[in-house]
Amino acid sequence: MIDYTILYRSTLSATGGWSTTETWDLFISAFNESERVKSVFDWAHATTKSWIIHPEYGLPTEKMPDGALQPPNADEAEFIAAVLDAYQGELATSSVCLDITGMMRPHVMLFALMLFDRGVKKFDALYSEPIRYQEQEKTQFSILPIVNVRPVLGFEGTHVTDTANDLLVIGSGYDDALIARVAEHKRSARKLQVFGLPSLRPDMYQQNVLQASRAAESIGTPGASVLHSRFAPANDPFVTASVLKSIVDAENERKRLSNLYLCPLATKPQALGFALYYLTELQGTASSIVFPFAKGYSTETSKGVSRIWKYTVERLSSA
Amino acid sequence: MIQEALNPFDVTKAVDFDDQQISDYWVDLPGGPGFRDLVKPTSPMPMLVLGGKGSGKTHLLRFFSYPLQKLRHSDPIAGIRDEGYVGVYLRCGGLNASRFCGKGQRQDAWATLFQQYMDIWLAQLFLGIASDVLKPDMLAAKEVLLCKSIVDLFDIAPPNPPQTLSELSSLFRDWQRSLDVAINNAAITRRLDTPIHISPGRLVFGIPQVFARTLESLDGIQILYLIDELENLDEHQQRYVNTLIREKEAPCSFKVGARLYGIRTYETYSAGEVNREGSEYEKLPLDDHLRANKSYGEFALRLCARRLIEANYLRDTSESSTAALRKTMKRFFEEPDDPLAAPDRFLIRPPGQSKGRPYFLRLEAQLREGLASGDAPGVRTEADVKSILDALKVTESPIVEKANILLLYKGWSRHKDLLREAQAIHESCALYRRKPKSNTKVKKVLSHFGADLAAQLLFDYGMKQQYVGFDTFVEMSKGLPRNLLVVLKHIFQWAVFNGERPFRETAVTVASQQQAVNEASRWFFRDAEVLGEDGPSVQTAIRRLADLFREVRFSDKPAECSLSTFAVNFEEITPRSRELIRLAEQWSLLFRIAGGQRDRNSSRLNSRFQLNSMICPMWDLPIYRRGTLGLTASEVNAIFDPDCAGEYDRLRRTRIARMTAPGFGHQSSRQPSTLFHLAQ
Repeated sequence: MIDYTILYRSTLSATGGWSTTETWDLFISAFNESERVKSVFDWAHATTKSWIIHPEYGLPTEKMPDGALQPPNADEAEFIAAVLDAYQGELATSSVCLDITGMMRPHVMLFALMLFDRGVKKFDALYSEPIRYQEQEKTQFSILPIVNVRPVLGFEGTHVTDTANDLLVIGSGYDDALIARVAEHKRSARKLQVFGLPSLRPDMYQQNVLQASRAAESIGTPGASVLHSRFAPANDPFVTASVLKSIVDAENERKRLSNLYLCPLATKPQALGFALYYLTELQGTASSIVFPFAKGYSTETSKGVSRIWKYTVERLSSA
Repeated sequence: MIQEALNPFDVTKAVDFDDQQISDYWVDLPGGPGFRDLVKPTSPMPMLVLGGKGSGKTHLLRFFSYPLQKLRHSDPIAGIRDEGYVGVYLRCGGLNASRFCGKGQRQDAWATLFQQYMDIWLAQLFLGIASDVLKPDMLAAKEVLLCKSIVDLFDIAPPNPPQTLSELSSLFRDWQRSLDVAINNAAITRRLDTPIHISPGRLVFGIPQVFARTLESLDGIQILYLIDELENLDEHQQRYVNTLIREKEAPCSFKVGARLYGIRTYETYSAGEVNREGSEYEKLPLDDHLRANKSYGEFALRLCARRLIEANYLRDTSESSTAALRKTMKRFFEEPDDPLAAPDRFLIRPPGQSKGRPYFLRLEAQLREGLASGDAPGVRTEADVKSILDALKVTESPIVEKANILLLYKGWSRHKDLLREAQAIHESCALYRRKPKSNTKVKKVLSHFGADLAAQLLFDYGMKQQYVGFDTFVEMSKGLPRNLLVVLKHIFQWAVFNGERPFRETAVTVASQQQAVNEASRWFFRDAEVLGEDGPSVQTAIRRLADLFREVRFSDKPAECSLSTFAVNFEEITPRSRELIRLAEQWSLLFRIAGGQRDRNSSRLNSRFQLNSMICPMWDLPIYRRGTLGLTASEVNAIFDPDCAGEYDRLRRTRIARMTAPGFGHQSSRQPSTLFHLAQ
């Protein structure tokens, strides 16, 4: 029995002045205009610090930091391979830290997969919670249109022809258009939503549910109802992984699932939790992580830093 | 026993139904040919079933699939023989076909791999049905022979040839898994190594042929591949489906379901040949068919009645006459009073609303403006203004007053003497009121513009437009049954929220219906967002078009009545406009009206398009189509072509000025105030 909650998480000071024990060989962060991303990059101690540039932010060249890595026209697998290939040290024996705050969710997940694939046993992931989103529930995170809905590379399953009991588990965030699109893409699957609760801030849960309700018709019955939803802390990847496990186990207990689709659309820690659960228990099964890829993402959506989390991510085994 | 607040319209998509529910909620087209006659499941001619979102494609294709055949017949094999076909249902979404591209590989390598993958997938589906339908005694000694014959179809024989159907299925499953692993690993390794076991199409046609010649019970039975959600395949993948259609071999045929935007190509891999309608396939445009079908209203009625019966809100009415059923359904929804028959009840003004008539205040101001500028023919003094206003007043009936005023505006736009015009209208109105059936101008205006004048009245008094009553909801759905179900679902929710008991003894209030229709309307517009880069441009164009219709409808002298349709010479507009109109059609935001419209001046046949009635409530537009606004190519380009959008405001103002007193577009310096903005 795998218990993800035994994995280690702690908080770091949200005003800097971190201890030198918080030092890594490689530190990677995705640049955007958010203060909570730039400050953490400054505070982190690391032999090699790398900014990566997601083209989805549409940043002009003059705003990009010097030496930032920006693999051109790359899918997420090529992108991450290029970033890891650029590292001069021995990755498998290096201490690695990712600041996932500014990263695209597919990249957060694929970083985990590729670090493990390259022999990294464990790595740290940092996440800075905002004090609030700029426009509350009206905050625009993704920039439409959605150009593609597809499995995240490396998280593509081996599916079966029986589609009678397919399930799509959506980690529903504020972006109702993304929720609707993925629900439409897997329209034959039953839907179940996971909401972030406790949310990052007390008012964010209600904002989240309010926004997600706009996609109710695409979700269908009964998945659109909060009464049929599940909950996982918005800032805890390990409890998220546990919640996913309990959902899938319970569903399989009730009636064997034919195909399983997961789609993390809420916070980055939850996306990390989705990846961790998939990599630990679902690889090689009839399960995929699917994602609606939008044209772009806003570079600044939040105000302030309330708390900085450090998660130490390891691949667990049931043995 | 009725369950409390069980919404009978909760499920609006066939994918949310299990097989039993697909069967339970099935309603055939009443009268004339039913769906079986349309789909022709025993015909060897392949068919494309095309339709907008919610037109019922999935429900239809699943109805002809094996699991539903099994539900229809206690003895499946006898049932299949009786029906003459067996339906093998494939949902393209299940293939996760978006994996077959990129990853540093050439497109032709992916195309080959996809063909193999799809063949193995279809083979598994067919074997699953065969294993279910053929009992051991039917297979008897032939199972080994079946397996051997199927293995003979492979290019390379497997090391341990399967002896049973179960082993054969396992072999295909293993092949599929090995392909999955190769496809998925390519993302990381950037290599694609896969052994090819079979030639394209060999399994799809070969396995049914082996069964047909080996088992007498399946001889003469058509194997009907029901391929749903074709829009989930890219162009290269669709070329393969087209190739299978073109190269089809007995006893197999295809029915392919796709959304209107879902067909990316008709090309094949057969030496680049293109499939032609009538030659390689026939087409069933499902929602076009439903829209044009005179029985659609009855079909919609029975569809909803079926929901109410299944949820115990109605007794089984399958034997009831349509008239009786319609009466029952009508009773469930409160309808507003006719503004002509009951003018006092039609206009129940909101609290605090002054008792004045806003439309007379506006007319008075326009007459004074015209008096000052010389734009009001025949009006020379303030007393003339008063005389005109007095002549048009009909205190008891605001809608007749509106008709009088419209008649005056019509005369004004033609520079008629307004004093004389008002007097003539007064006399026509008096006659109309004495003898409503007599042939008067007032009667004619009310007959043409009655709905628009009622809408203007509601607007004048700050009241909401009324989209209520079952017939209205059916009309709004425009051949897309899901839209009807969504409206009714929202009505149920709002009625319960407002403390009502929908589909019981009392009718759902107008207020609940209005709230529900507005919500359903906004949902539809959001949901119909075109995928891809052009999505925002299409939505913007539809907003511009609807804004224009709205301004025309609420102008002093609307050019056309009940306006939600425009006509244009399609050849004259820019390619970009044509492309965005095509996308709007494919996403059911616009409907092309068959037959077009003859241009009044040149007799040229223009293309005609109607705005989907589902979004009309967002702009207070009519859902019934009557008038058609002829637009110039420049106007259509300004609406649809983003490169010409800079002209939109000017062209719109110019057009609306022609319908606005006192200038009616005759003085270019005069700009009408823009009263209306986006409805949202």
